[in-house]
Amino acid sequence: MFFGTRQDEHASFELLDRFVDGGGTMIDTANNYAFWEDPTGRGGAAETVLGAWFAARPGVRDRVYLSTKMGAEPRVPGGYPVNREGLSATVIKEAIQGSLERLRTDRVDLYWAHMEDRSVPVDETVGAFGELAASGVVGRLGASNHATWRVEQARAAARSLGVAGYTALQLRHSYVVPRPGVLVHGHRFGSVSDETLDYAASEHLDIWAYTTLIEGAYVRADRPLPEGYDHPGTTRRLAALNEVASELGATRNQVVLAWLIGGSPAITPIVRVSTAAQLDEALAGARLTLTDEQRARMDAAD
Amino acid sequence: MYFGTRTDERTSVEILDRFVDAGGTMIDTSDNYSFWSDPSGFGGQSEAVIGRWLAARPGMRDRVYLSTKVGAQPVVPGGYPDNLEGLSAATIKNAVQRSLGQLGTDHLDLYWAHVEDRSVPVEETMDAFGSLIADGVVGRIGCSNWPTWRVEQARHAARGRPGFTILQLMHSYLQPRPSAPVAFQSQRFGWLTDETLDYATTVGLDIWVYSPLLKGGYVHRDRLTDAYDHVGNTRRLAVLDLVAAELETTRNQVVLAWLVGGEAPITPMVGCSSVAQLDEALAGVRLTLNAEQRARMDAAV
Repeated sequence: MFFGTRQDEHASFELLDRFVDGGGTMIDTANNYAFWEDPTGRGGAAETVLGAWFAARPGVRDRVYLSTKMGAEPRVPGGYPVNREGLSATVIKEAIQGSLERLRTDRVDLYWAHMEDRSVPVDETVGAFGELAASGVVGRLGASNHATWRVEQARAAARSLGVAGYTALQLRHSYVVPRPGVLVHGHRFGSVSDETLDYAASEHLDIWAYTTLIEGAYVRADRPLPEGYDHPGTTRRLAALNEVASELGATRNQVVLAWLIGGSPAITPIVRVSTAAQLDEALAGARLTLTDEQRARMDAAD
Repeated sequence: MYFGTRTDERTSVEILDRFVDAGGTMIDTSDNYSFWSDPSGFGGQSEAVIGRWLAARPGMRDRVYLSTKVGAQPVVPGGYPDNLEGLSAATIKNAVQRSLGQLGTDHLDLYWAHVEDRSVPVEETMDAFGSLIADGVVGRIGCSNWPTWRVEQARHAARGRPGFTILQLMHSYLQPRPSAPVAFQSQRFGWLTDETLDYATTVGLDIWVYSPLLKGGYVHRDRLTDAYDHVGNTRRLAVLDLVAAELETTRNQVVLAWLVGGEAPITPMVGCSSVAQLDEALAGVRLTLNAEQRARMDAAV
């Protein structure tokens, strides 16, 4: 999310207004967005813009489901990823206060651990998040970019401590996937796997997916898929995607969003947009429904 | 392992003798080998051959590390994979006695849950396995074809008792495309993944891998199904051939050396149907890649 960095406050407000006017309800940010675009080397700009927007639009905060993340903010400019704030109890308590102040709200609906922090005992992290949930400052908890076995370990720790545990997972996912062994982003355990789907379905966790539209690769000739996606399965999936898109008179992006949302388990796609046209396309995609036959065809391409 | 089915008893015994003569020590079987190759529709032939071999070689039982598995024996002929014995406490208690009887021994060095059984509470399964360890009937326990989150759940449930300390999954140097079906892998969570490696190295579990030579696929390309067709594998085969030429050895041996010498503690399991295959495999696990060769092999994706 580039609110306050690539997009100035005016452009950001326009997108946000259009989003809620178009029926959108869920906004996901992070306390470190977007440190890599900010001259200060620090995050916080996106939350600050959102806070200003909530302040300028009375009543809107209650109409949206707001989530933010902590744990991956650099401790010092240039510190990411080695020198990031992490998931200690002290940092969690400080981070939520910082986010609430910037967002100008008294609660977030879902609070994410942005990345794992194996230097901190899992009981400490889980206990601190559990306290936030118990106090009502956060509605529920989720884990992003965590290996499934680490999520299970944290959930078991939460059960033992008698506190709320993670009930949502946030990972990268889309219709086409890279070849085995190819890491297309910086998180070793940051992608949805078949194990993720099984875990979420079995334990009733929600899955939110990021980079669902692969930086525009489905629709923009100037943004080809990264080389790691090159394999016959991708070719077959793109062919199926083209077929279904033309049957529905929809864009490839829209079919990908519909495929994610209507699957089993259902996946909540997160879409980052920088123009009104992209926003409108995504909102329409999220409302699109595939027939069983179309979904089966898309699933079978591998 | 086709001892007593596709591989007749005489050949099986030849392979076993040569294996131990050449310094081999670990023998892994299952109560359901090889139901799919036997007219009865049930397994057990493999354990029976090994049991007769052990009986005919006094002192041999103490020289080998013996493991077998429970959970995936069909309850009725044709019952696989939906109608299996599973992992209830009663099944585990009965199955271990049957395996001990077939193998003619009073203990197993390692006992595997062959597949998952989500119809049984994991506490029940772990209690049953834990009792076998407490009674000295089995030395340690492992699980095969389980996703990491279920292993973690089982290890948590076993707290206070010994839990699984070893995983058995399919792995090799070549990897199939994501979600493409592979004819010789029917287990959804039977694959070793990067997450498996992380889990095993982090919490200290051993890993055994099955079908490391892809059922002969490195030698007979026609045995590699369409799922293995992608540019990552093309690159890997090219590097594999280069390294094999440098070491004047076979593809199979380089694959075994790559598995054995990696960062994670991987033990490849090779199913042999001839003495020649056995000799090749034994030489392969004794081969060492240099760091540069390994790095080149790892970098091809």
